[in-house]
Amino acid sequence: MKSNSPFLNLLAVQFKEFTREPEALFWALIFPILLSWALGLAFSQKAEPIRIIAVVQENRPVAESLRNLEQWAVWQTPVEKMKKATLSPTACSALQNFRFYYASSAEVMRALQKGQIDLYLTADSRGTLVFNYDPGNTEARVTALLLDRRLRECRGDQPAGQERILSLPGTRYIDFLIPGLLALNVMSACLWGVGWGLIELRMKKLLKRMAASPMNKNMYLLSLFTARLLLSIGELILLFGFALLYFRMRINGSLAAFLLVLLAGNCAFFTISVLLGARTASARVGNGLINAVSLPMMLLSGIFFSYHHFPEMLLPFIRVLPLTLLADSLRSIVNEGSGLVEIWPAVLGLFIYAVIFFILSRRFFKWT
Amino acid sequence: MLDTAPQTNNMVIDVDCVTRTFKDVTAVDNLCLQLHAGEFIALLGPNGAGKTTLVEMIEGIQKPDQGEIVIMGKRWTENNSALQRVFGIALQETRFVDRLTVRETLDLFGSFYGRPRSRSVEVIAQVGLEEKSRAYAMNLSGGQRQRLALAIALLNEPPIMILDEPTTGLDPNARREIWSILQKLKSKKTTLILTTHYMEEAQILCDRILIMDHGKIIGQGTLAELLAAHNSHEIITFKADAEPPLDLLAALPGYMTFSWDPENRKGLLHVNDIVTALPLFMKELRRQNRRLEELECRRMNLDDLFIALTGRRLHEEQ
Repeated sequence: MKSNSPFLNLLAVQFKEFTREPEALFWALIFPILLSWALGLAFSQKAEPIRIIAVVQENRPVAESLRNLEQWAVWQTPVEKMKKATLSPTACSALQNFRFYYASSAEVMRALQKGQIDLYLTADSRGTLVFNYDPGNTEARVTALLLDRRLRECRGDQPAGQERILSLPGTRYIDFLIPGLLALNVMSACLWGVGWGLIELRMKKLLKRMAASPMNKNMYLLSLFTARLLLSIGELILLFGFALLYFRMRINGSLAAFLLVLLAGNCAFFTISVLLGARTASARVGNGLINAVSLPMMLLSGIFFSYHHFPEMLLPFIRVLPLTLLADSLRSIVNEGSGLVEIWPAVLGLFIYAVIFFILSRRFFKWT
Repeated sequence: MLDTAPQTNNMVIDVDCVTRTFKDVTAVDNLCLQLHAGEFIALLGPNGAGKTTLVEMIEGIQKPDQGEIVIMGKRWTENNSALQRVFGIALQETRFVDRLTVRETLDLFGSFYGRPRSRSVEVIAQVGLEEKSRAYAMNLSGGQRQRLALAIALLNEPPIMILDEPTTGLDPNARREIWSILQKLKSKKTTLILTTHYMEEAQILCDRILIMDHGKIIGQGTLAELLAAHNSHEIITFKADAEPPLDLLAALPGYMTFSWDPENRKGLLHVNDIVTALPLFMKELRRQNRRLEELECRRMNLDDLFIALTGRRLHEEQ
């Protein structure tokens, strides 16, 4: 190659820095795939847990009422071992995920306090079963509802509706996770690649040396941005390629919209990163700034778990965080089949962030 | 490119009463300096003397609070990119992109100056880094890194070069290698400003030496001029069992000053001619029955001059 283009040189530097450091390549490209694989497996193929129901011995009516329970599998082993106890062959098949712990009320209370059980059975004077549990404990509530339903099934009562277990693409945890991971990757690639990169160059005085040369500064920033964009497309191909092959996932909505969201997200996080790297030449300050931006968004923006569990009053704030805008719109394209019509507000929001942070970083950026 | 015609009496840099203040420190204090084409000057001074601030203002990296700087008839504010092409710059302790080779680093900077890649090969040869041209910047020694910085400064064949402490922290061999590269530039009519705190470096490379302290130039000229202007002392240092009586020393021919360090039992005698003073000095000591343990005679050097001018040493660690 005879010509010596500053832009191509600058772009090549970004990629060489990256490809020549195998660790960097691993953390940026391979690690998200391993993470999605591990999380996808951990949360998608989880079997229904074994639930332990304590039965209080001294309570005569309950013994009476539960006489039939003898056939439904009642054990009296130490509570610690109950999860591993095998089901009695005489047990009703609907109760296969339940183990009954038959013990004195003192022992039951102790097991409850230790969190080994979260529900125990008694019966009132007429022999009706009483489910004792703390309604604030979601798991206990689930146990009570499930037990009620399964006992009815064993008695041959008709339940109100049938159950069907879903494992269709688009409705599983992995479908929720993958677009979120891609969004997270855009954020961290920008914050560390661009923000930290600028801080490092300033520490090395290389930024000053470059600025003292007739290098076009806008072109320099453009080369950084182009490199980020190309890398995030690479990451998209790898991560989705993997999800497609391994989890049979697919992008249901518009690919054009998907790429537009990715562009908008990269713009927003690129300008945020330039602002973070605008002044400091200290590793500690830089690290702190990057964590201050990335940690709250990582927690709040619902990358790994839905943000709808956060208090209601926080939701309007969470929804407009750049990472939330990016993750939500990627998810809606992938899973709900959205297109430009549905996601334009998020794209606009991300571009507004980009403009604001671009103006701020122009103001605060120091080359020396 | 910048036309180099309009300068009268070939002045290339005119620093006109420039001041630069940081918070409560005046780094450069109302300083004036003129440089002519082809001149090699050394800015000599201890850390914190204001050398870097001065050269960075000349390079256009910092702006003066007061005063102005004219480079080849042009000012920084209006002619940024044209003036950037005039300079070859090596900043103090620059590091490079870790995993970029010497050759690639030069290609990158060459592209900023619109130079073809073949120029990288030329400057690599000029600084003698041929064997390292494919080595990553992170694997270079201190001396090699400084040579790379120098190669970058040479890329655009600049009429003016400014090197900020190009040999600080290098061992004597690496330092000499840099000097020999710089000496070759003299034949090319390059103007050079070099900051240093090694007097030997200033002495060997530069036509004119500027001694800087507290933001001001406190002495300038060739080494001979500087020494002559501050009286060409010659120095006898010695260690003896007791202090010789001052009146006897003062009677020596060409006596100038004497100081005695009682703790180390060391004397420092300034005279204007050792050849005549030394035999009489030895005779006096013998007559006084003083036992001499060490004796050293030398001409006054830049370091002595610097102490005479500022009361400080060039190297604080020494």
